[in-house]
Order: sequence, then C-alpha cells, then structure tokens
Amino acid sequence: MDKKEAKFVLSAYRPNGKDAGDSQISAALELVNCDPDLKKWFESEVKQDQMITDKLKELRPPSGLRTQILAGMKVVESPPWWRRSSIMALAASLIVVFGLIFSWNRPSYDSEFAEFRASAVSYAAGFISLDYFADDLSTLAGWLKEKDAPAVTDLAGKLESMPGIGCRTMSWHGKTISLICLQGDTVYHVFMVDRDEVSDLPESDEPQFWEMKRRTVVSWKDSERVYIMVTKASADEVRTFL
Amino acid sequence: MSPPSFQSLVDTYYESLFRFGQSLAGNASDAADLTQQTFFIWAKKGHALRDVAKAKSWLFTTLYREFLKQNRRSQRIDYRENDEIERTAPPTEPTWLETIDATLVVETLSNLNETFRVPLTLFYLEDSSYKEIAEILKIPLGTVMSRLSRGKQQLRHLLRDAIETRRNNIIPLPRVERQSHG
Repeated sequence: MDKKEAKFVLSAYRPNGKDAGDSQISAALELVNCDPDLKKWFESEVKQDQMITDKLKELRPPSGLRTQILAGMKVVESPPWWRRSSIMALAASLIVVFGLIFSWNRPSYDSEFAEFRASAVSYAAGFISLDYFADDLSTLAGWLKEKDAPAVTDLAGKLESMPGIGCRTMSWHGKTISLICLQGDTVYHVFMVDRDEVSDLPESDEPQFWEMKRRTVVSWKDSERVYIMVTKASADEVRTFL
Repeated sequence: MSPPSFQSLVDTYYESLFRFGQSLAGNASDAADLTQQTFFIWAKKGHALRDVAKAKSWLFTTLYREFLKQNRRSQRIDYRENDEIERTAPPTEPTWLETIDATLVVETLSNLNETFRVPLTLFYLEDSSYKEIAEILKIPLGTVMSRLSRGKQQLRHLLRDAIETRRNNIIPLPRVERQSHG
C-alpha cells in the first residue's frame, strides 16, 4: 500500500476509532505511523471529521417523535385480519401452520418462465406473509397499484368473484411480483408479473396446467401480465371455472 | 440471537435515523416523517428479517428507500454536479471548521450531490462502518471509499463557501456611544 492508497482507505476511518480493527484500515494506519507527512494529514482529517460529526450529532429530533413512533406501533400491532370473519382468520392461520420455510430464489432452470413458476410454487408451499388484507379484489388491486406493482384488472372466470384474503408485493430477480390470495373452497394463490418481465412464456393462449409439490399449478396470460396460480384444488376443479 | 424489542430498536436508532433523514430531506419535518415511516415498516415487516444482527442496516436502508420513493413522487431529486469543486480542494487546516454549527452542516450536506451526501452522512453519524454503508446502499466497498473521499472534499469546500457567504452577509450593529455617568 502506498501513501495515496492509504489516504483513500483512511477516508473511511470514523473519528470514533471503531474501524481501527478493520484489516484494510489497520494496514493503512501502520503506514501512518511510519510516515510523518501522512500522519500529519491523517490527524488533520480526523480532527475535521470529528468536528463535522459533533455538529451533526447536535441535531435533536422533535421532542414527541419517540412517543409518536411507539404509539404508532400500537396501531400496527393490531393486524387488520383480526377484525375479519373467523373463516378468513382460519384460512390465514392454515396458510401459516401448514407452510414450510420460504425460499424464493432457486437454482437456474431451463427457462425464465419455468423458474418463475417453480419459485411461485415454492413460495405458495411455504410460509406466506401478506402485506395487506381485504376481502374485495378491487381494493387489493388498488393497493398493489399504489405500490407500483402489477395489479389485476380482471381475473379469469370464477376467481373474480372469490373473496380475497390479502396481497403482497415481492421482488424476484429485481422484478416486481404481486401475489393475491383468494378464498374459495381452498386457498388460491395468484402470482402476477408484467408480461415483458418474464421470457420463454408458453406459446398457447389457453391456460396451462401442471402438478407440482402436490399442488395444481396453472398459468395464463393477458395482454399485460402473466399469471401463475397455485392451489391445492384439483386440476379438474380449476378447469370448471377457469 | 433473539430479535430486539421494538422499543429497544427505537431507543437505539431513532435519533440517528432522524439525523440521517434530516440530511437527506434537508428539514426536520420530513426527517421525522421518514423516521416514523421507517419504524412503521419495521413493525409490519421486520419479523421477516432472518438475521436480526442486520436490523440496523435494514432500518437505514429502509429510510433511504422511503426517501427515494418520496423524492420520485415529488420529483425533488436534485443532481447538482459538484465535480468541479474537487479540483480546488480546500487546505487541510481544520481551524476554520470551528465556526460552523449543526444547521450549517445539514444545509451544506443537503447541497451536496446525493451520490456523496448519503454515504457521507452515514459516515459522520458513525453508526455504520464503510462495509455497512456498502450494504445499506448496495454499492461496492471501493465505491464507498471513493465517495467518502470525494464527498469530504466537496463538503469542506462548500462549508468554506457557506462560512464566507455568512461572513459577507453580516450587517454590523450600529455603534452605540457610551456615556459615562459623572
């Protein structure tokens, strides 16, 4: 390490000295001890940093901020689904109880679509945590739109009339995915992504069926989005309304 | 490691988060909103964090993301180009800094290009090492060092300018002739 490099590294040295144990910084500090010019520069740097740090720490939050944050927590701690019907609460509990550990990222697959499908199935088979709860599909869609996430405009067939459980957004390889969970005779998990975000889509416009992890998996697409639905309902049941 | 309680997290980080927010937003009101929003998100989603040791990074990252989101909405992102300043870095004599105050530091930080302002603020708050800053901002370690190095030069230069401007704007009080009582 030369003097220039040492200066570069030492720019990350906090005046409180907490970085002294870092391997890169300690190597630069060794050089400081052997070079009087570098030492003078370093001492001046630390002094200037300390002054700015001290000034910044003089800033005090408004007096009520802590109380407001803690009070806000009490509101958050009352999850909206507690107010839901017992059936919805039971459905949500079942998702949690029977869920496995979620792993969204998976090894590579033959195609991006196949990977998306496999990720959706793994997620639906695992522990599902939703961000927002509502019965009404349009309310869920509105929430997703607010989050700039793919939002459903119309779901296929009978799905549209099913009551919602809730929804969430998630990131998959940097792409935004929406998930809406619906309550029919069983739970239906519908994953949505913008159509141009996933390549290698099935050519057919008809719904495609698979069985994966003892679940029925269906994909379909419209002009804007690709949908993957994962459910414990049988393929025959799904065919009756999709 | 057991997850930290909500209150202990608030007590440990709310002041630093507020300061970080103030240097990003440039005012206390937005900073308070950002801080509240950050803890609100934690209350809703924090349980999903598998490594509780990363709670601090998570909070700072979340506040920064919220700031970016709000800025995107109001189109307030200000990309001032300060690169010219680096060519004429101020001398490293620290005494001139003794005249600054907290407001001036925040004002000057908020005039700095965001690229430098964010890592620099995290650095000066001293809560995060350069490795943690890299994690919060999702940038390589070398980039953090580079931004700190360049950002410090820019900040000091801007601070000197600000001090100079203040000096020039001082209007002297009229001289009052004292009369002695006989």
